[in-house]
Amino acid sequence: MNANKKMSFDEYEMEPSARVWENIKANLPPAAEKKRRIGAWWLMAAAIAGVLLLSNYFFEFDVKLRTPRHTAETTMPAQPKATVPPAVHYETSASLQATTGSSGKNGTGSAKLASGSGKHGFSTGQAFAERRLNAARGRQELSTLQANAYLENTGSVTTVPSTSGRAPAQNGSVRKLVQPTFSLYVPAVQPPDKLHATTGDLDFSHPKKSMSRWEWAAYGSVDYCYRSLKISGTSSQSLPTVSQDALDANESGLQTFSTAVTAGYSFSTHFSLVSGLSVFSAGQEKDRSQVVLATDPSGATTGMYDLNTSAGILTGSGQQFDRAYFDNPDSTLFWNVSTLSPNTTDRSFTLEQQFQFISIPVMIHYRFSERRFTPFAGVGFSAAYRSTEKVTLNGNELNYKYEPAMHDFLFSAEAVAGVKYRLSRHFAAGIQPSFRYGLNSLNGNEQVKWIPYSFGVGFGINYRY
Amino acid sequence: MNEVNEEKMLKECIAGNRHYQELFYQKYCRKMGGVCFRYAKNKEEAEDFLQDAFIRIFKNLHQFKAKGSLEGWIRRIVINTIMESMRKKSLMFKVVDLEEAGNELQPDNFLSQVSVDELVSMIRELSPGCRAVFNLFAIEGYTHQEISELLGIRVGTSKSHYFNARRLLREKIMNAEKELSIKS
Repeated sequence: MNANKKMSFDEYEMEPSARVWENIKANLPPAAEKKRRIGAWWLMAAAIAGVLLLSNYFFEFDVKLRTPRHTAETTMPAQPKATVPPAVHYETSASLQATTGSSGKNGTGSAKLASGSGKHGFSTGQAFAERRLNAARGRQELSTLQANAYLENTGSVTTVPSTSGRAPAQNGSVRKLVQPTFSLYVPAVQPPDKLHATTGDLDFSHPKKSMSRWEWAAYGSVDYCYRSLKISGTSSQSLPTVSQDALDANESGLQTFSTAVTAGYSFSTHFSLVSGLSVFSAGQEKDRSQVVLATDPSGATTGMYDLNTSAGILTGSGQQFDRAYFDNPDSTLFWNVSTLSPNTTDRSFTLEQQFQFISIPVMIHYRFSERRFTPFAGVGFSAAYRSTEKVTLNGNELNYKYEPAMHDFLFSAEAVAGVKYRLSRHFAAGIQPSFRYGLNSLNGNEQVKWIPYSFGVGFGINYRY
Repeated sequence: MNEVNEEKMLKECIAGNRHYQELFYQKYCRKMGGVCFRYAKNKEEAEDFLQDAFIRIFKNLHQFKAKGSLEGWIRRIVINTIMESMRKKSLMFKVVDLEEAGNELQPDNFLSQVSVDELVSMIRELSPGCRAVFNLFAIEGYTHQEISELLGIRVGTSKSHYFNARRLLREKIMNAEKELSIKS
């Protein structure tokens, strides 16, 4: 074709309709994509800070309550004064006979305690009071001085008269009868405002044995991983915005194993906050797919091959695919471009994609009752970091690259329900079915979002000291 | 648009600024639409090609090296997007292995006998494989080796498609001339 004609083709134009730009706009990532990444970091940091703050709060709470040994909240009704161990109050009556002297005037004279007019002799009363005082000392730990300090004379005679003296006067005497009263006040033993009770005390099976609010657990779980696709189709794909929770005909879930070590803090009889560290996987298996020659956006072919999966495109060289497919890099099935025609690219094989995460779960658990069998349920979320990923083709590991790249973080909602069986005072065995659902897409494709979810059954041991 | 504005436009487009992305699209959409139209069987398909290509362009704009021609880079992505789309739809290339086809290639002076619009209409009536190879070889200037790598076909297959495309176009042009002479 001559140069003029080619130039005419270069200038050839077509006016596209307005819908084209509208569709393009709808499929472009938002301008704040970078900010969203920062947002994910903030979310992660906020979650960790929240856990630390909560644990700090509960830690302080625990110490404060444990300081007086007892940690309890059960408030007793105010005890009426009458029921308080009463102050020892002893009253005695004594007849005191004062005798005037020979001068006939009032004056100081000897006195003696009469023995017949009172209930008890004065000394008898004092001894009785002292016995009561001694009894009270056993509880009050009062020194003698302290106890005596409470002994006060409320009568008009301030001095206990001596029992020694003369015989009563026979004549001209003035008889005055006084009734000195001695009261012995012993400070009442005030009942504590709060009776102590730890969680263990509230435990019906061990009502008198205190147990820690902290509980440790180690669980292993068999998980079955699936994925959900959120597809925002373009007109060329003729796909509406749909959610596809079902796997393709040639896709299947993946069985994996997860582990978790957690610490739980009971902040009431029924509720506890549980957090820790867990390792879990997500992924899928595919038994048939198409391997096609790859082209990069700038146009040149690089001899690389693309394998389309719902999680993204796996790109590897022909040798890499040969090695993974045949366990032999020299088979040249994918190596030489000329041997690959469109009709031979649809291959049967087992493709396994697996992503492993290290996760921090934060959950609220509810115990229905604390007995030998203790049913429980919990909900929460987890923040997970993608630690490793693996792709195998017919069991052989494929050296690959994901296009677009996968995200590093996965946030999930989690739910568990199970039952614990108490083996001893400290140990319990548990079975725990669980469910985990991703809150964000793992892959970087804005049109086809790959969201993992899984069901699992866990078994483990709980320990409470 | 001067160079400074183009640089700013690229920066803003990479940052995701919708206003500049639309300006960018408006600048190139007609010319790239013309490219898509040559490869498509109808306007709707051409618009789908154009849409997919521009989505890809915006997502990969940060990879563009400012030293080269931006329009050339955009054009390559448009063509690659079209090829990929056609390949995915399995529209292309029954294996027709005519290694000797290259020997029969003749100068294509007959193409200059019709206007661009007429030629585009005739090209679009070709089979997808012939249409793609003819566009790539005769108009875009790709070699058969490059086409074979781009489409994952043999060099002989590419030549064969081109040979067939030329033969069909020549027939169409001759028929058109005959009809014109009969009418006149």
